Amino acid sequence: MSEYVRAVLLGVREALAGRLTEPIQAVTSNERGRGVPVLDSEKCLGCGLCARSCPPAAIKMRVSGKRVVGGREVPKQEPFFDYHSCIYCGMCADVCPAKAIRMVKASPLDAVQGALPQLLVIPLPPQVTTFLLILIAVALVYWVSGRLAPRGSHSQTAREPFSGGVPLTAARLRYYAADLMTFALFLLLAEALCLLLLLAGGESFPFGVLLVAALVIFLQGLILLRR
Amino acid sequence: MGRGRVEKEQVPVERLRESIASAMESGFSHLVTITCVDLGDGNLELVYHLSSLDGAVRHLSVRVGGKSPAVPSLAQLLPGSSFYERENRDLFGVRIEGDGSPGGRFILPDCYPESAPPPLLKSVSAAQVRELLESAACARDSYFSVGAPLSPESVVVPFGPYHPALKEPEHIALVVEGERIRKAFLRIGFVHRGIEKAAESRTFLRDVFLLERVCGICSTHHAWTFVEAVESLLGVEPPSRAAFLRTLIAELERIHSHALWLGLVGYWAGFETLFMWVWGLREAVMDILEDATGNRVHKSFVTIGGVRRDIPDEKVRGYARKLAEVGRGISTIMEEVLSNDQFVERTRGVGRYTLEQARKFCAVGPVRRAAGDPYDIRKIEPYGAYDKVDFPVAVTQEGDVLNLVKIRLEELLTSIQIISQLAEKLPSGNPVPARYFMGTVPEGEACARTEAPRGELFYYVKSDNKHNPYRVKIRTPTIPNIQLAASLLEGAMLSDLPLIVTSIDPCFSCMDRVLVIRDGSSHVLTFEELARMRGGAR
Repeated sequence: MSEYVRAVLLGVREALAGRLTEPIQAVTSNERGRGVPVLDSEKCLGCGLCARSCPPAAIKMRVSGKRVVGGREVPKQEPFFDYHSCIYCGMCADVCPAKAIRMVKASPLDAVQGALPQLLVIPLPPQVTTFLLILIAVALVYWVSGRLAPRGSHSQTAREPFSGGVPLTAARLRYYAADLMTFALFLLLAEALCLLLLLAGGESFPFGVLLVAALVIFLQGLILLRR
Repeated sequence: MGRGRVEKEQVPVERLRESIASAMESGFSHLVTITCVDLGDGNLELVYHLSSLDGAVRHLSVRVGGKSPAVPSLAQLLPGSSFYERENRDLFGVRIEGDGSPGGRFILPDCYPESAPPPLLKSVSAAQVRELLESAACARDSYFSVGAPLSPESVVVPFGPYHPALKEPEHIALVVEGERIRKAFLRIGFVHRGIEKAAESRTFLRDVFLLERVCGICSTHHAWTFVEAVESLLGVEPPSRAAFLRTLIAELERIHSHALWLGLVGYWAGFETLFMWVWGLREAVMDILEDATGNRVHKSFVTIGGVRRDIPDEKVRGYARKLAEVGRGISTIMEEVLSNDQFVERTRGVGRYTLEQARKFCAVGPVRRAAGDPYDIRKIEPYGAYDKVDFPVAVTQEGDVLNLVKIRLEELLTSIQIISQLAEKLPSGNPVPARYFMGTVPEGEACARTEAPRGELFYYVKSDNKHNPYRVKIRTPTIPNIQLAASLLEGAMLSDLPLIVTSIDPCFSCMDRVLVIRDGSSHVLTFEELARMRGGAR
């Protein structure tokens, strides 16, 4: 019997003892870590020593503005940290002659989050950019044509931009399935056309051309369906 | 001494085997490794580093040239040399005469074309190697399966490369009869990263960070060993405070590595509570490491000419106090583990080997010491501050998993003892060099050895008056030890496999190079041959 009592007491004590594991915030935001490199661009000389001594070559020098040297304007360079490649060793801060790079006490997790907007600066492959642009353009056309479509007050059939659709009350069925398929079809058509244009004309097609191409296809589709 | 500039003895190729035999007779019985260097004039140089058991090292050098350079094999003299030789065969194209091992790849992936030039030659660029590998199809399943039925009753059990019982990828094809392993075909090298080639193209300073990443557990030891070699090339002596601080971090690393290993052994022996206990204690050490160096894993602490940041005296004393507590926890665990009959019976006599076997395969570190040789680089060839502290070397008389556990538990306490002595004797001074070394290193060759947690770690660095090294050779402790483990698997029970493989504390990422097919007896098969033997099975 006493064993049972002891086991129960042990269980109660363990339950009240609190947890042994540490919350992740306590581990990642402690004061012991070396921190993440942050640039003070006002102090930066643009010498590039940090980029040359960076062990994983995570620092790239980029032109960030102009600087006057001896009465002449020369481009000013600044380090750009790729926090995904960074090993957080603090070498750049150590070698910086102007002390422009500081190791800010933070977890690399914070730095990587902060690096996400910077990621947009990194150029995506042109194909990815193109297809993203087409998607945006076609979605825009779909949205605009929805706004412009006639909305008669006498019936709900006019809600759908292309075919009129059937009156439906459930919110999730507000978009007519056939219309969505049409949308997908025209999206694919637009993408195929733009791909052909791309293949024919190279990589430097401006956004406007794609938009117009998508618009034309869509308006044609609209006319086709409306007869 | 094994450290410092290399003084080579030139030996003609014809007399190589006799010279090595006579060196072994005279006490230089431990083959550290075989370094191959492309001299750039069409000749290759092979340096045989032979160590005696009391710390002296001789470097025998042979030069081979011509279209198809070849050296005689030492496998009959010393079976442990086989891996080193085949490594050179793959990376430099040196033919090995008379070792009975067939062609086929050893370190490189099987898909690296036979006709392609060996990757570590100076005439081959890193980009070229990458291109070759990218264009080849590496994922043929014949590489991952072995069909070698030895008798109608035996079954081949593929084990790995990705298996719950392995923390890192490796592949073992086990020929079993019932529950007993008859043959074990090891194939490692799934994490080959070509670090030696990469090191040749970076500056010495950046190399320190690169080489740290050879291993995630003994990273400071890698950086330190490389820095030792570079410092002796430069003729730089680090400040004595820096030597003490390096020793401190290295010992902390040993504690966390051994604790990690102990937890894993407990796990594979079916004693998961041990895993939880030890890893709980290890967390205190990791916090100390993070506090001292700024990082838990890759500390980036050692640099050429000193260390990268000073640690105040009172902090070091604080660490010693905290570690004394950890030590009490370890003593308790030691008592609990060694008085636990189930654990003792589970590990005693498993993976048993003799001193002779350990010497034959050039085993190093705790694996060697368990068999009876007090072969500890910290003692026989003191580096850092090890000559200023007093510590015992744990030795047992026969190798098995239980003795390896005992040795490593002893070493945990020894390391704590060393750290408390370091805290007392820490000299004053500035251990941080005024500026980082970014210059050129004068021409020369140097090597360095340290006692990493897993055993003797060896670096060879050759410089030629440039900003980057001409050649960096790394010999990690797992290469000799895994040869021993592979031979221990034969005759063992299938359920002992994770325990035996774990017992040598393997680090496949460090070793990363090995691609082994061996059967422990006289002949070795390649995977191509085995795949052919399997024939139309698929």
